Amino acid sequence: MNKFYPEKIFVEEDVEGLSLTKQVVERCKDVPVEVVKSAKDLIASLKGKRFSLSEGKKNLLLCRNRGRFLAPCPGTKKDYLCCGYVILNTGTGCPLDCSYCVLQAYLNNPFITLFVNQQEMMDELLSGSMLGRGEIVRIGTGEYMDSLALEHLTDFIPFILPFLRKNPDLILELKTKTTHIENLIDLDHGNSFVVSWSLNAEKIMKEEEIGAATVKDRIKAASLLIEKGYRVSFHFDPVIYYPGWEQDYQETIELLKENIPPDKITWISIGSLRYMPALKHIAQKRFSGTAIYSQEFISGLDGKMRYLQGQRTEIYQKMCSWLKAYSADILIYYCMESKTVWNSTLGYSPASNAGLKKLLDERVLF
Amino acid sequence: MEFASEKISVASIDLQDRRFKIREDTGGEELKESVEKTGLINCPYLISSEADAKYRIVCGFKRIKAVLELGLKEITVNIIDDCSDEKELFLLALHDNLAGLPLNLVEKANAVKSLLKYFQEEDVIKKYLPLLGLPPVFGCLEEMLLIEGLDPEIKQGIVNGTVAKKNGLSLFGLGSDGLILYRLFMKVNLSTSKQSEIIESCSDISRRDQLPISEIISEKEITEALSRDDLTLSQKGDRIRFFLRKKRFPMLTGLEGRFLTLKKKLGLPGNIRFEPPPSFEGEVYSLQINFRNLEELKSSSDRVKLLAENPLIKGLLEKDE
Repeated sequence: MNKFYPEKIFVEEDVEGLSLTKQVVERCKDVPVEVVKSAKDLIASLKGKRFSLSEGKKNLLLCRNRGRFLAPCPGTKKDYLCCGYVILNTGTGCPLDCSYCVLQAYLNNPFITLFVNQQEMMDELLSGSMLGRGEIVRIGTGEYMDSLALEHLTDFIPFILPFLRKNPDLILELKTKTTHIENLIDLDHGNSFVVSWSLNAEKIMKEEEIGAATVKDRIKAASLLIEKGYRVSFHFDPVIYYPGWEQDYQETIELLKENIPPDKITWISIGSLRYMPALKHIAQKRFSGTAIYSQEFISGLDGKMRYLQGQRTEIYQKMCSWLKAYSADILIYYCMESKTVWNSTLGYSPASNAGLKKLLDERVLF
Repeated sequence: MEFASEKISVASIDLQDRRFKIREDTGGEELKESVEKTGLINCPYLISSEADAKYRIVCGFKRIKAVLELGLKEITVNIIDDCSDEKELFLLALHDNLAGLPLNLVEKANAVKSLLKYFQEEDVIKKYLPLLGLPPVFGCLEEMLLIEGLDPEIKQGIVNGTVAKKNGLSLFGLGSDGLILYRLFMKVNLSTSKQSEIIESCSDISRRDQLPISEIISEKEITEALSRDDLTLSQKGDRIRFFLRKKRFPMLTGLEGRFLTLKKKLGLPGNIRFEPPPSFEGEVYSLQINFRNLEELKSSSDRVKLLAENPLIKGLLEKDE
């Protein structure tokens, strides 16, 4: 798949001299660069201009993260179990364009944005209270952007690796829909990573995941990393209902079965399509042909739109039966699901968010 | 801008040229009455055209219309000397209109569309949207252009309040089906939120089932509701809404229907309210007892105790476990 190069780079003036800024600019030869006073002002100035999110995705903004780099995954509220993942916020926005992506409604910044003040990120990581507590901390960079989509510009993986090797309790989960694994292939990784691919039915991949690698290529990339001793995992998230979905998702699981030995899979998560109400209008405007929001949704206990509990249960029961047929030993967990749904589909439920966290932490303790 | 006052023949005015027209053709009765009583107080501004020796209107469309309707043959107007700069002429028309009665939303949309012929988009947003009382943001310009592009029937609906701006914009998104839905709204009585619900239901059903909206609203249940003389307009609207909700949410409405049947079978008195989890999400049912005195409380409690033993309730709750 093609690598992302922006049409234009905006650089916040006070990060112009930072090494990551220089590296990214250097690697985007011939791309025009505009130095701006502040990212905030740049974004505010768009209000009076024709500038869409699609336009923003062609531009790269290099700026300082003035907030925290580490934060607990916002997950969701009330009655749904979350996995205790910690977000390492290296930037926001993504060159891929998935019609279901929550970022379309979540962010007010249309640019693909990289936080280049890496030293401050390291300072925060080093001073963080999560170190040395004797428990596994799963951190991830895939919440607000694809973890590997900009790796060819940032070399983030080799940058962070020495820190991770010194802190074996930290596991970095890289979540991606790309095949940009070059920086991982020849790395002495020391089991510091779980590399995860988001998987879906081929129809969804083709129609709703614009710019992403094919499902086949994602699985192939995972297979290559398994050969290099990496932990890999997969996220069937979002599973999207449409007439005939069963056949298509089974085909993806079949592909997985043909290429990945189940004992090499750290975990598989499943989550059905859910979205904040504002996303529907935004996404339908951007993707006029999408019908994914026109299925039957209800407002969940967390205010997000979800399939009816009965329908979700049916989806999960089927997904689990296909995955369990692949291997009974795969750890399957749900992202943001209720205990009721866990119990009725997997026959058990973690007692709490901490219980789910422990379940996943134990998988990386080998 | 130089101009000279002249008395000209009404027949020499080109009434088809609407390039500077901002206001809609509605109303004008009061103006006509005023012209009849006192004559024209403010003269319209016109330019002459060498092409066909006719005058073009820059501002004063409604005044000239009033004069025409009163059957007057001559009118005193201001003829602008230099008519080479169309942009300046449009600004004259705009400021003349802004000095009068407030422009309605459709008229503002007309003005925005015309302004874009003469100015860069960013200038229109920053300078002219505030002049029209609108926020200087791109989203607003986009909305104005959508409104300007609406079918005249829907525009009229926005002006007279039969359809809210938000719903008008949603109808625009439906293309030619938007007008079909608008015409349906005109046959019933629905609040803004109910109209909005119908637009969303139709749009979702259309996407999901790949059906044109015209086909959805031609379904028997809708045509029957519309033809019923014994229903009020509001009742017709609600019937259509319920039908569409059922079609849009077959599983949810199915669960609601089954729960309602169960409640009927339980035969609870009016002061005991039994409700399922919201949208059947989660497992928490609710029971509410309203009472005025000890006696009512006691009899309701006894009833609730019996309820816990009812096999229908047991069946419902055990199924969920």
